[in-house]
Amino acid sequence: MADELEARGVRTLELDGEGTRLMNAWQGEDRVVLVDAVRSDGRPGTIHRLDAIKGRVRKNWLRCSSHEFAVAEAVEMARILERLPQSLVIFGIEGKSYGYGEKLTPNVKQAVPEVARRILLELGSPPQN
Amino acid sequence: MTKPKTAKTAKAKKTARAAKAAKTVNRTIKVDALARVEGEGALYVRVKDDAIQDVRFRIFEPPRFFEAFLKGRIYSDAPDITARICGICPIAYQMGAIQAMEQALGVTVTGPLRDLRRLIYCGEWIESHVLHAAMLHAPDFLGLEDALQLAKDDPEVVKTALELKKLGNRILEVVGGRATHPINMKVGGFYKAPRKREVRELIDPLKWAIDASIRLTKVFAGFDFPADEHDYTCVALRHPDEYAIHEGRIVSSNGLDIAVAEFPEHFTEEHVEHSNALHGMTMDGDIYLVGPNARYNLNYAQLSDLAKQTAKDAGLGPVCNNLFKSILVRMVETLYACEEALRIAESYEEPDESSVEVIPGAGVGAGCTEAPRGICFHRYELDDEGRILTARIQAPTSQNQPQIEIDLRRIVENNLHLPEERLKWRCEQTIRNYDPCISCATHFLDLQIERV
Repeated sequence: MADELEARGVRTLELDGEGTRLMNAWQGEDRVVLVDAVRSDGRPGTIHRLDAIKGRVRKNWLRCSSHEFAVAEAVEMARILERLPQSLVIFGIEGKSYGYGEKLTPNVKQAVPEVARRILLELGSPPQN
Repeated sequence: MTKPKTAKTAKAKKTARAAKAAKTVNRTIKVDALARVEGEGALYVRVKDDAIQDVRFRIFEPPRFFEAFLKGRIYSDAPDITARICGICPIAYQMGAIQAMEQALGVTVTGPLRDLRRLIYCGEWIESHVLHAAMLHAPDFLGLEDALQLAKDDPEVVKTALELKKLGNRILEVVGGRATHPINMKVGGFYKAPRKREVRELIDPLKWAIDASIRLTKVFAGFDFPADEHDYTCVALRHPDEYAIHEGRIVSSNGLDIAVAEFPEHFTEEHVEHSNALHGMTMDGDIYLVGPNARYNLNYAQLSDLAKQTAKDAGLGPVCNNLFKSILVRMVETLYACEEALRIAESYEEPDESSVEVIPGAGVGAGCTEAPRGICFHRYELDDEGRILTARIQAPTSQNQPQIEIDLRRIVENNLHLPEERLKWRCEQTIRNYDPCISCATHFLDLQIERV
């Protein structure tokens, strides 16, 4: 996904989800879109969208990270310290299995180009067909 | 016989929170065992007539795929594969693997390349220690739920901590190529030596960081620390010329003094029934402590004058056997790491070669470094082509696990009078004293106290 977005002129960063690094990455930016795995017992491949400026990020929603201070904490911490970017939209893809070294399951894989498409729309750059 | 009573568990609270959250985002959120956290902790305590019958601290650790992953791979793959074991301390894993390979292949790295290794390791200490001390541990002492509360109550502390952490990251980026799973270290040295200008640019921030870590130490020294002392058997690296971080011999408070390669003859690890993680102990079955307090207690004399003075001002003597004060020891080590990083950055000149030549072949080698949480041991056997035949990695948290159980038993025993919620809090705090690599697990801690 990152490669595809880069090709369309979107600056992308792959991070491990450690919260303070996320805060450093988005501080001072205008428009940020964050993509992560979600585990909420929904159908694998389901795409969630959350406007983090408008709504709080629930701690357990993005809990596919091995960090105690992760995405949700970083968003809420940045909100308190007034270090959120002007716009922060989170896309979550519902996962199926979270083991080591496993490939994306087909449902999740299908969701990837769709999320990329929606990110481009979000950023006002309609995908080319 | 009284009826067994189970404490209101964290899980019950989480279910309630999840139900509330579900309402908001309109879906059910289940928070049972999560697979990709580095572990999940559960504590089980059985009490009879106000006496403890059983304490079991359980960690679900992902099965150790890594040692299996490594078999058959070429020696030079080991640093980048092992770096993936932990997102918080990749340097510890990389460097342990690198040193083991260098020993197996008869390579020694000295001079500026060795300095760069110490520099990047200082970066990892800074970021890991500050993250734990300020963001995960400090809220415990303030009766706050988490760092978000701390940010509301005392934004300056959090801002200072974030800035320090960022500097730790920056060191990893400059020397390691990037902060997340750095890619620049290799067997024999570095793929590319960092530019002098980039290293020198660390100087001013590091000068600020020295003051900042002293300030944070002072703030944390004002906390109310539970009275708790234990006669720990400490194990750490020791180096003749410096406070050991990335190399040395293995020493203990019992007088042990061995080369790293001798570790397997003196230490073992054991599967215990109630935990997936392996529990470390000495060959005689003794339980020991690794990590900041072990290092501090064994190597205090080698700290800088400023670090010693800061420790003294924070109320620490040359030995600290109260692990609740590990938050102070972590800050003293952070300060020392900043001083060391500054010293190295100030004298850095770009080396002529970024690495020394390595010729693959057969051999056996061991490596050990002081990960922020304690010694991390590696041992590899290589075949004639330099492919890995066997791999053994012993992480600090598995070594500390039996000691955590002992601490928990003592803490519960001495605090049975506390209400369940307060007792649970105190237990979580006890586990966080170790900054276990399951720090993610500490909020999932499911405490069951069964009174029979």
